[in-house]
Amino acid sequence: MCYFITKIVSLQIGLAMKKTSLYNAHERAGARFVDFGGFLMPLQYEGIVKEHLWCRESCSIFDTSHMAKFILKGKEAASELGGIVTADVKNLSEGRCRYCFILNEKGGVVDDAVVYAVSPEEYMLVANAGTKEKDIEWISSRLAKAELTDADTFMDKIDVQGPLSADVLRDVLGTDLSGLSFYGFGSYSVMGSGCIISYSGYTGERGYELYTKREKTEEVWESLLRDGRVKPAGLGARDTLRLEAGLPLYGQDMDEDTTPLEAGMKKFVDFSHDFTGRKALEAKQPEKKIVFLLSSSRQSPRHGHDVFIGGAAAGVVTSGSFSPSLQRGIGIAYVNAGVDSGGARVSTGTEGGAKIDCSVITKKQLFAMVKTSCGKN
Amino acid sequence: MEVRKGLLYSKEHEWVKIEGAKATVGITEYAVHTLGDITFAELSKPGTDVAQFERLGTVESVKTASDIFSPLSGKISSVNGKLAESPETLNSSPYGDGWLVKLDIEDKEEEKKNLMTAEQYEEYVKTL
Repeated sequence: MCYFITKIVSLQIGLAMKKTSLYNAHERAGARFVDFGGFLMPLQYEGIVKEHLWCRESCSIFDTSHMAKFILKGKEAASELGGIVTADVKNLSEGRCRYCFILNEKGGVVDDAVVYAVSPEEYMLVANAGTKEKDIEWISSRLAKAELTDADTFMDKIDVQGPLSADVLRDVLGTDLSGLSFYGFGSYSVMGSGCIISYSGYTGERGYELYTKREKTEEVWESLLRDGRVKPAGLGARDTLRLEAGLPLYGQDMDEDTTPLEAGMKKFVDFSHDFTGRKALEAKQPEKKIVFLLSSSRQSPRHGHDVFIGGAAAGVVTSGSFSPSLQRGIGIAYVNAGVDSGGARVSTGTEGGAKIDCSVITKKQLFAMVKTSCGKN
Repeated sequence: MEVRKGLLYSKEHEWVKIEGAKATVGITEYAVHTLGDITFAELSKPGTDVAQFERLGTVESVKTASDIFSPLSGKISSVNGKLAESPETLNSSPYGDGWLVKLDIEDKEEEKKNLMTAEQYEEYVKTL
């Protein structure tokens, strides 16, 4: 069996790869590691399904320190960054963050990121780990006056996600986050050190992202873990959670040949300001469109499967997995823009291989089903 | 990780237990550990003739789908029906309740040469 068996990372590879400051804590917790974006990251601890369901019901913590964190400073920071990303940075209020895209001239996604307005002259940009070098080159070559700093030298990131996350953070760290609205953030004192906390995440659950100073990261992580409501979750559960919430993953569901409009992300493109890629987005007809798939069985559509409508190939699956909440396969796919996909019955698979029967649903329908099923569990 | 004595093993991590003209096939603890939570199993139907190392079915975990190959040739006499409802049985009992299929086999001395003993498989896994 197992043509596609997951490769266990060997020690030799491990030595060449980057580790986050929580690596030893993950090892102590019995994590299984995986190469992600050049980092040796925890794939899972006790198992993806258990970790996934725990996050939907209680509170999970994720080490996301591998993500690229930049700081941009200067009087021109807002206008210069605004020209690079799809968010209207100049009009982003202090204490607010926004999901956005860095686009190329063709309107394709160079990376997706979250921009934080720390002050009128300081912004934080959080992007993907695997694209960090590309981002630095892209951004720095487009800045005239603003100063770009790599915050990964001193800052880590812990995601605290799940319905009990606010209670846990209040009880364990003493941070009262009741005043934060969704995509709001503030600077809090955590373990005697400044920590940015935003009400945001990548799971579909209520949750927070903590930007800790490196010397405090392990202490924060271990303190949270001592609370009985909290368990660690790895990248495996992070992937199934984001897929159930219909959130695309850069490099898999979006790339430089995909526009945010094709990815169904129009609301994160602010056309009231000027940015690289805008002209192409306005001029270009989308060539493909994103759809969400629900398998009729436990069998899952998989990354790389073709999508067949009425027997004809009409697209490709970019993400697919078993949904622990729905106990069925789910996926994200792109189909040709002209295809009428609303409610369509499709199948996925390889040419000549077995086919997996799926229906096309909306992102909203998918997550509504997930929330309903969690309520029942 | 347990490698059960008395079974024969394939490089693709299937095991086979031979009892006269009957053989039981499953996947090893190494395989289920590597796959993680198993969420789906689909196997060829009883009555199907399979050749050695021919595809016998598919096992899916949360993250991935893997083909299962028959370690010996034979006719499938029964399929573990429990796996359709409870594929996680493969994780909890890969050498017991998580068996995949039973085969009617004939003399397999030649085919057995293509398989490993428990000791050989244990050494093989160490090299992966």
